[in-house]
Amino acid sequence: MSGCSGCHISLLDLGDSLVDLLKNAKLSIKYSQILMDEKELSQKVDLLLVEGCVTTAHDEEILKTYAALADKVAAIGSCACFGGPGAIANQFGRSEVLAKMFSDSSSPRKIQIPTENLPAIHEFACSIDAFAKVDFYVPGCPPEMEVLADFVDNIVNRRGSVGYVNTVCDECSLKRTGESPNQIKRIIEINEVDPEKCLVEQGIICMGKMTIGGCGAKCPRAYAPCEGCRGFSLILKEVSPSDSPQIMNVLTNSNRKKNK
Amino acid sequence: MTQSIFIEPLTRIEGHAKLNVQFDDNGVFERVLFQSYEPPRGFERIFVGMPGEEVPRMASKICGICSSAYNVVAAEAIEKCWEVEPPEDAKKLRELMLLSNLLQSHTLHFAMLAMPDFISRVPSEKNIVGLLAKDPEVVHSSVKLRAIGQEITEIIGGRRIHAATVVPGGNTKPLRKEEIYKIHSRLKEANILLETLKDRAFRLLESNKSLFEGFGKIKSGFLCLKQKKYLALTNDTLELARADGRVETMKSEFYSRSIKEHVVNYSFTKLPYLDEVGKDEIIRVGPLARINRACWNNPQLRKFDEVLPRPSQSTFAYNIARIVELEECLKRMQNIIDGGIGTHTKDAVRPKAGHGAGIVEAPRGILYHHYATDRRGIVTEATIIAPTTQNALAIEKSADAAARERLAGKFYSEVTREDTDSIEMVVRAYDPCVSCSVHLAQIKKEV
Repeated sequence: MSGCSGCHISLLDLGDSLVDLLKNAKLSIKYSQILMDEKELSQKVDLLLVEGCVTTAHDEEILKTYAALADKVAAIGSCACFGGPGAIANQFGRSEVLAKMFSDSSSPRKIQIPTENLPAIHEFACSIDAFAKVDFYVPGCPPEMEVLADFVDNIVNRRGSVGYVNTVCDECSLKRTGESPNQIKRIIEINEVDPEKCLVEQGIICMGKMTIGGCGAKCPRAYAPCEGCRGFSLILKEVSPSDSPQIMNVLTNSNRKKNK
Repeated sequence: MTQSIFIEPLTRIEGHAKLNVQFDDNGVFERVLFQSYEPPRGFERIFVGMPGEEVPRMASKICGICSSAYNVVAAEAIEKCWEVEPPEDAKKLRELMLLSNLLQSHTLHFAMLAMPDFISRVPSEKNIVGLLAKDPEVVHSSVKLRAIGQEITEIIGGRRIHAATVVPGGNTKPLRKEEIYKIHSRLKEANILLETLKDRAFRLLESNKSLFEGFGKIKSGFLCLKQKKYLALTNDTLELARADGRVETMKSEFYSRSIKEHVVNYSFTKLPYLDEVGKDEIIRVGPLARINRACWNNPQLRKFDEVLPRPSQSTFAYNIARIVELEECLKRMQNIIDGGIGTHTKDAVRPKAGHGAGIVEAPRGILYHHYATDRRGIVTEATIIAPTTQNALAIEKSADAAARERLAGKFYSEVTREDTDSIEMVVRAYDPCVSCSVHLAQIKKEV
């Protein structure tokens, strides 16, 4: 589907272990546009991994045809799971945004979306479950190599898949003391990020508390705030606002400051 | 009526594209069109309204293969908007990221995408599994080499793909001593692993000389960042080597003024051209462009010169150029590490209204970003020009040249899978990244 191929690359990052699986014929790839030369999938398969979001009539058709050939379907990555970056433009009116991108330098006012032997573009880019039944969701932008390793391992050994129970915050190594910062800071306003302290407590907005875990909190561990790429943790379980008191406090504190 | 054979989807490339091989009424070959059918995702619009510090991470999501190049170039462009400079140590980290990204991208292409073409004529064998049966050593070496590239990216960027640490003003995470030591020891391993790839590349070249010298060859100009004594992925000066041999240098600002775009009705990728050069001269970017202008002291480069004297116009030379670059890439990384990297990697910066451009060499060629921000540092305007966009016309013309040679004297009904596969190989030499290629637009905030 439409995406950046990052999920493919993350899968390839399994490296030797993937090669071993292929060598021992525990796993056999029947169709992959980026790895194999087969021009279409024409036989039944156990599992269909789908990367990217659905953006054209062609995407939709391929997805429906291939999903019908698969016993199980897995949405790999945030685009396939939720729409991902590709779906952000939906809010601005996708067709309008795209039309603007096809202006020609010689006549900037003339706009034509190319159509010759090309698929029709959908008004909304969306997750794959709008068009096919999805059995597994593996979120992440892209899902970390370790996440995919677990997933592949579970599938190959027919253990089924394990759900996520943690938030990114639960997996983070930065220390939390419970103190609330006085104000929200942009990361550019800080000289050096304190490598010991929770980012939220330093005043940086980090989405870790509200994001599905499983990634090992790699971004906050590199002193970069979580951007929530793995999806909203409310999908997992009901989180009451009191579960994230710090963020709430920060918001109220800075509002108070403004009011003064 | 024109009849068409579609080579769809083009396989072992990144993104969704097809070749439309057209024949006239009599069934005689006419021309090839390169059609990308993956529409743009509207990133340029998404950036508008976003704080500048969010842009590098978001931009990296345009491409999963060269994500670090997007990280670095976006941060650089936003820094230019705000007239700030990152600390020296951050610059070193960013250059290392560009290099480790190149390492993983080039090895991925060589072993998993390009090499399977040379081991078999059966489509179902032309893949990594087929290669594993025929030449396990090259698979194992390149898988390990790729992993080293990705590991170094993760050490610096926090993640292997879509790194998180690059922000305007520097990198959030400095390197610890043990991490520098780790990179050092990985580079040693990498040099040994690279031997296998070098060996295979030049063996391919020797056993397929006519292919490398002539198939899919076109005459074009080449555009790249001015190379230094080493593989330079960042520089503020560009070099344009025209097809007739003239070489012009230009500042990166010139590039944005000069680049124009042309919409064709058969592809979602627009065809750019340089105003001064015109629509008729094809310009190529990427490894071959850099190699053609390289002045490195490198034994592989001398070997390259013996078989494909530079400036080389051969399309398949791209495959060898990547391997030559890899050696230079490892050398440069070692140099940076040996020069020492401090821990002062980030400064606080103040946003201001302005506009600025960043330009780097991504694995596939020149990557250019231009942004404008308001006084709070919120993006108001965004332009992105990706490497494959600039190569799109060259890809089409090379495939056309290849088809013209391969299909000479053949009729529409006589074309075989072997014919179409060989034409497809030419496209693959460019390592096109179609998801990136559909970005070339200037989106402004409307007031």
